Amino acid sequence: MVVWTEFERATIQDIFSKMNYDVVGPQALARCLIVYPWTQRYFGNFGNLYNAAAIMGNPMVAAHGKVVLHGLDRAVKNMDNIKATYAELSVLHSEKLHVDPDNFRLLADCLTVVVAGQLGSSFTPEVQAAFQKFIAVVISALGRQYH
Amino acid sequence: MVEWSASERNTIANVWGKINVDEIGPQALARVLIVYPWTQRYFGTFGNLSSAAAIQGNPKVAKHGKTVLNALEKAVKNLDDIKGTYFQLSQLHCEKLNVDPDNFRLLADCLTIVIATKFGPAFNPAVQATWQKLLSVVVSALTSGYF
Repeated sequence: MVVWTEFERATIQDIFSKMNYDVVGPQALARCLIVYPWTQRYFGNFGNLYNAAAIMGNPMVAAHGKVVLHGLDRAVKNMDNIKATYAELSVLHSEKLHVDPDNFRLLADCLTVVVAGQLGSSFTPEVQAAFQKFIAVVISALGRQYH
Repeated sequence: MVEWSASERNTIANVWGKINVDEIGPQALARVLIVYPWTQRYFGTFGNLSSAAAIQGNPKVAKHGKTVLNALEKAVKNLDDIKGTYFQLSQLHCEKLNVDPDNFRLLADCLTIVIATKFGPAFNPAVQATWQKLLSVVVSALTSGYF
């Protein structure tokens, strides 16, 4: 079971309570599609993903970015039981959506870059370590139900 | 051979021109040692790495951070032959320093985070994509001397 220090809990709650999910979600997903273009293969029905500008302006990308980040909120609210919290979503991503679990890490990296860009110098090394630990636990939980 | 568009070349020159190597290098290396603590095993002679504060204040970490980031300049100035440029450094890291090449990616990630914290929204998705392309080419070149 994952053990969280007081600092880690406080840091995660702080970051997410101040986050505008409807801005950060779309930005993270857009970056994923731009920086790792092969990920576009999962979004064949999203319309125009032809270049960075198109991706950033694409309303389906924005809508889906919000969905994903609101999904992350479940982990923020259940830090002591992230594995169980994501069991269903893990099955969904594996059996229905057929998402290669490597992609969780790519999206997580983009989310980290967005958060770092917003927090600037307050994204200190200690805060970064807590954030990346949280994300690693989420990624592990999402990959859990794959066989 | 790696192809760089004119826009990518400009972006790289622009980002590099705005970076204070002596500031960014130490920050990136400190983050690696804090966020990925197993990497401390390579720095047994560096003295006190017992906490985030100790690492951030450690003069050997700072000095080595500057060395590493100054070496990145070789890539920036030789975009068309990064592999050749890093051949000797690759051999050094493999045969003498015995560094697992996975660590190159960890340092690249921390460097990207530091730049994101400094540049904020100016580190937009297109800039991020170009910057990460540069770092992937560098990581690949540093790994190419390993067998």
